[in-house]
Amino acid sequence: MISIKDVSHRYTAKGREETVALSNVNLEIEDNEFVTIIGPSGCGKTTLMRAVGGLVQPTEGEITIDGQRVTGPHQQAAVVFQNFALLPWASILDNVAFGLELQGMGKADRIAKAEQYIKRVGLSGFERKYPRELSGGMQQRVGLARALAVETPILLMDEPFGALDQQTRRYMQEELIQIWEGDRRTVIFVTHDMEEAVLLGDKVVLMSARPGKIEEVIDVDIARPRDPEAVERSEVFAEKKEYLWRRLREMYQVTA
Amino acid sequence: MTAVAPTRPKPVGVIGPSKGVSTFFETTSSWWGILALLLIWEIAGQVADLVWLPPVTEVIATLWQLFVDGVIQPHLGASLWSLFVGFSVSLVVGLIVGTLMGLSTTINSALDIFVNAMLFTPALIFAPILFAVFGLSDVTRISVVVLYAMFIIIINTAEGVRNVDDPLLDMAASFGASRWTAVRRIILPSAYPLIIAGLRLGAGRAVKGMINGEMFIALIGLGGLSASYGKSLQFPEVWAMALFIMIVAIIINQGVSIIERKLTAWYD
Amino acid sequence: MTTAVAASRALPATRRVELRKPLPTWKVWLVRAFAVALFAIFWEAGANLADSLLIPTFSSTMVALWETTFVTGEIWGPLAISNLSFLLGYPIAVIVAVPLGLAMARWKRFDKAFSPIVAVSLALPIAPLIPVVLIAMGLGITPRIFIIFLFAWVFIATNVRAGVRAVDKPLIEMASSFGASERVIWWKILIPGATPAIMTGLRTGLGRAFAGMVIVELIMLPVGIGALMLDYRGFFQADLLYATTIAVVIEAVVLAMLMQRLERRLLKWK
Repeated sequence: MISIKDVSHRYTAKGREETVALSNVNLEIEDNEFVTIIGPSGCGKTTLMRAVGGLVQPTEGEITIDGQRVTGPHQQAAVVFQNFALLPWASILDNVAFGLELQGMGKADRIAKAEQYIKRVGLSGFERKYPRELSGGMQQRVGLARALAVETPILLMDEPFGALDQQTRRYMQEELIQIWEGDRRTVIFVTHDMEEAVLLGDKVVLMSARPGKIEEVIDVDIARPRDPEAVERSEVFAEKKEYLWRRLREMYQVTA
Repeated sequence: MTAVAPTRPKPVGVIGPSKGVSTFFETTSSWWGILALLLIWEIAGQVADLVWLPPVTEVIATLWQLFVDGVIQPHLGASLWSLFVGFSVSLVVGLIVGTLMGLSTTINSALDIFVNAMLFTPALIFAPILFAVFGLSDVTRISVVVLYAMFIIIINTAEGVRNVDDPLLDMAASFGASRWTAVRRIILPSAYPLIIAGLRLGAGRAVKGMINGEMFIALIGLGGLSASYGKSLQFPEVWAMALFIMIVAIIINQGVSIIERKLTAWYD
Repeated sequence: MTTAVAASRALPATRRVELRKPLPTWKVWLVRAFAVALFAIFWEAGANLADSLLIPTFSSTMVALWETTFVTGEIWGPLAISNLSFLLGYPIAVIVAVPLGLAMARWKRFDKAFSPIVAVSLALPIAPLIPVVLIAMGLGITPRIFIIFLFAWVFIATNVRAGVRAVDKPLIEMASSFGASERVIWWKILIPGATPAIMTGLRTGLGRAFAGMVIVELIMLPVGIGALMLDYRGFFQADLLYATTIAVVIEAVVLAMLMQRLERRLLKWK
């Protein structure tokens, strides 16, 4: 269980005023839960996710995973990055095996495991290619495979499909649902796309900006396994989306 | 005091317009133009009959003769030797110091003033001191080469290290990379293109340092030979040496550019 | 809160690299002062150890620098002689090379006519040809000015040309679509867009011109500061030789900083 307690984060960029990225955030995430975080830009959703991964040390409050405090990057979570963060000089196979290699896994084992996850994300046959030879969607599959391969209980996803075009994004969402439903882990998924948030999440965490704080946690009571097309036609989906949009619009009226 | 911020030149070479001698071949369609220049030179040399402007045919004949008589060869050897040693020293020191400066803000603050000052200063200014200390030994010429080449390598390496993509470092940290692993697996590979560009620029500067240093000492090497011709006003030989030095510089620069392209082909 | 923290164990965390960790300004200057002090101490100790006529101590070099600039003023005359040719040669190079680079970028015919000269000038070593210029132009200040010009112009011209050519084509099309005249395109689009590259050219040219000044005086035509240094070397006045070298380095750094300040002012929008 991930428990976020009274977390606030402030930082001062050079020559600017202090920014309050997070203000008094409290959240509990159960094991194997798929949580999406949505909110206007500047609401600190990515900061919150990074804090869970230990990539940011919040100025106040604490985050624990199964009762253990997060003090820095740790091995309970793997991260899927917005801009893929692939090593341009390494092959797809080496990229996927990178996390395993850092864990100290032997060569034969890590290649076998990397190949297994490359297959899982549908990239078989591309092992020897380099990232620049792949489309954006395929590059993010590599990022996903790399994060899955280390088999951490937690997966942190930072707008992973944000840089993709609409069709690719939609396709990736479907595949992510399939992969996740076959291999449940705790997921924190940051997005700015309302449909994505509802389609993927068991819970949608709605945040507001300046200062970044949690407005509401919305349960998405749509049964698993989810068939994306059926979900999109369902009444619950329309209703949740409609509700999210209303709340987000209120926020924009306040800030803009 | 605060106004005296250290001047930090942008890393050069990966982008940016001035490419030095390699432009020689990239200026397409200028071959005819160069031929025309040579023709003008020939005619001017023949017609004007100036002592300082021998016609190009005479210059080429002189250059040929210098080779046939075996005058140039030992000097070429001496030049290339000091270039090789000087560049190797610059390479090793430049990479180490540059990496340290890129990794540590403290080391960077300690050295940036010195490095930048040395980059802007025409390094030949140190030749009288080097000559006074090391005399006529090879060390003098090699040191000039080092002073010409080393600092651009330091600056480019440091900038390459510093310019590593933050998301890649985040990624490495999130997968548990220790500091040393991050340096080895992320930072150095991603600095690689800038480092190689620094080496190319360093090689170009090393050639300049080689010639200028030799001309200062005026004893041996291609520069030494042309300095002695210059002092005795043997103009066909002066032009021949200039032409030859140009050819050597172009060959070295082209060679280095080809090596650079080969070494960075895998990169974007 | 502290009790709660103490109660829970911490997850093992990776110690990560931190680049660009900003140091407070006072610390930067402290480190710098420390580095300079260390350098001075090593020099002083090394020179005392070597005990050579040719290696002055740091302190005696500093004393000599003080004396040559403020007490005897010995350095100023030669420095002025050297800089006069530099201060004439560099502006001439700018005045010739900037318009040339602009014209080469905009008009094909110009480009074709001058590109062979540019290509050759980029490759031709100037130092070995200095005697040619000296005999052709005599021994006054003119050949030195010309050599400094030769050192600098081609780097300015190529950078200006490249800068103008790199200006976004759609911007020019946009301006033309609004009916901009050639004059407006130049002043509103091409020159502002090319300013960074032009400044790079001017900076590179400045360095080259200064190097030209030093090189001529040291290897062929001993006048000004070059002659002074060669004299000091000849008379084993090592402290003054070192002091003069340092003075030239200081001038180079000051020039570079002035150029950078100018660049920043002109490129505020970046």
